[in-house]
Amino acid sequence: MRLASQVFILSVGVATISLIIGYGFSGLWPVTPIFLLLGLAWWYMRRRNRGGAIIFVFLLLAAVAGLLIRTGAAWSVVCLVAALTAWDLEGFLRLLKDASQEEMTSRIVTTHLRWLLAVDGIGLLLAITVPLIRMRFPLGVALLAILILFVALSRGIGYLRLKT
Amino acid sequence: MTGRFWLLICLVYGLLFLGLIALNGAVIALAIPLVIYLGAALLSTPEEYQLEATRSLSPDTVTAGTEVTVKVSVQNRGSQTQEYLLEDILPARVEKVSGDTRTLAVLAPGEGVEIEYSVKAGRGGYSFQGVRTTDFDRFGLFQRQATLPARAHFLVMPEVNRLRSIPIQPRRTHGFAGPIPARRAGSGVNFYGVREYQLGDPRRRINWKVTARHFEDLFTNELEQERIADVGLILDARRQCDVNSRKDSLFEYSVQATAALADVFLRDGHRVGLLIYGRGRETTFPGYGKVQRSRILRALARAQTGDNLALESLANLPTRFFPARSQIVLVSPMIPEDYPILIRLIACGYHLMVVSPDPVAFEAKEKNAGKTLELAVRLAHLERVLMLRQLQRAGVKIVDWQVDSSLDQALGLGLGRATRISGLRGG
Repeated sequence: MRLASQVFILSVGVATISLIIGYGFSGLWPVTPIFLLLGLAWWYMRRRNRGGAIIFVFLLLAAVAGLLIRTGAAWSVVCLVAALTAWDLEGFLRLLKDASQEEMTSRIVTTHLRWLLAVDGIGLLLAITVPLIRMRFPLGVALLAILILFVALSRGIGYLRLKT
Repeated sequence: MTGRFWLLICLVYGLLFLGLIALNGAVIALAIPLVIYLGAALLSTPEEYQLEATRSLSPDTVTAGTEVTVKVSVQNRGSQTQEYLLEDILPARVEKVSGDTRTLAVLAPGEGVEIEYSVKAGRGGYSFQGVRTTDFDRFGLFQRQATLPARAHFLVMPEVNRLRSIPIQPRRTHGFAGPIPARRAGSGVNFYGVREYQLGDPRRRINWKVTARHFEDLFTNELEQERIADVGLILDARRQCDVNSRKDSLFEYSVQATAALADVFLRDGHRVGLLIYGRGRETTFPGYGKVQRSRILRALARAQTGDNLALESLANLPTRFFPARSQIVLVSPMIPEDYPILIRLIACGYHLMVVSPDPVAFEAKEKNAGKTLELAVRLAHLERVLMLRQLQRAGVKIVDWQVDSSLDQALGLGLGRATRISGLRGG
């Protein structure tokens, strides 16, 4: 449980710092205290056992905004992955409160962190490398691909809802 | 699917939409970690689980205030290692004292986990139904809830206060030795009379003073036989007779009194039966000893007040349940409509005692003091006293019990007074 808490704090720190560095290096230092405040707020909310989903959304929006104003794509991706990790661990730690057996808890934490690390690694790698692949599509093909993606996602969600 | 899942879906759609509007591939690429996270959760969605739960309670019969230890063991009989949140469902009015009713566990095939905690509850019967299980994927985006059956029951017996022996004199007794003077000569300890000496009479029983007054005749002392009797206990469980306060109800006191009376009568060796009259007519057939005590206490543990149109008055008392001319003890707060029925019982030859917890004093204690209330209490009290006196005149032994004081004290006072009145009538 302690390890998961430490990883949570680390993730919040990484998400905040990557945003600060991204925005700072682009000459937007006056904005950076906001990210610091967001990070602190998330840490404080966790201590108070309150959900930090809203902070996660804000950090994600900041990462997207950073991409749009060209603060460096890598920093935004790192921020998003770290924020996702922190958000996941926050929920996980809340669930972990019910684990009463020490041995069981350490097993659960280790398994969860392993999975999270794998997901983060693959996500980070793909999110950084995919934009580097330059392919030119006509607008119609691009629109069609996006449409197929939307439909596939919607069908997938529909299927999951039926299943559960 | 949880709220977390929907938040992620919204974010993924949002990023795709924004990337499309901004014609920025990097924004769309930001959705990739989220999609992979969703995919990983989807891959680890729980399959149909095969869990088995067993429960043990120790002890399963307790007195009020005593803790019961609950142990629930859950075994994974399936073939997949899975994370489970297990939560034991407590029956209503049962309070957890220590331990945890919830646990998070990862169960490999054949592996098990145990939940242990203690509870306590007031008088009654309680049933545990099952364990609520929630299984979810690795990231808590999909979850499924079910209840595993793990049934067990425990009983909380009423408190039994020890009372001093209660003198009763029913018209019919049994042949076995007991505490009741049987108005017959035989083996006993109290003097009954004098008769002529018969062959085989022990010499120490010869009454020498009487013998000295007669020429050539010997006289022996006779002792009074002491026997046991049938005692029928009736617990009035009609809802209309019950008074509830914020903390407890008058019925609880009635149950305690019945338990204490059953205990003392059985201790004296009598054959005791129980009838709980109210919601239905729950009977415990007459019997002797510790086993019967346990049966009666079990019946009392489950006793509840209830409404039943057919049993609104005592007119439907199953008198055949009680042996003719036996002792009946009615534990009831009493209502005026009961008076003629009790008189009928007396006429049938039963020896009747009424232990009546005072509902007027009990209810008045809870109300705010005021002049109107004082007047109302006085009127209600007068009405009650009048009814009890009428019953007493008809030959019913009345024990008017203020539940603040001990039942033993009330029995001492009530039975003493009744004896005096009987004595006056006899004189």
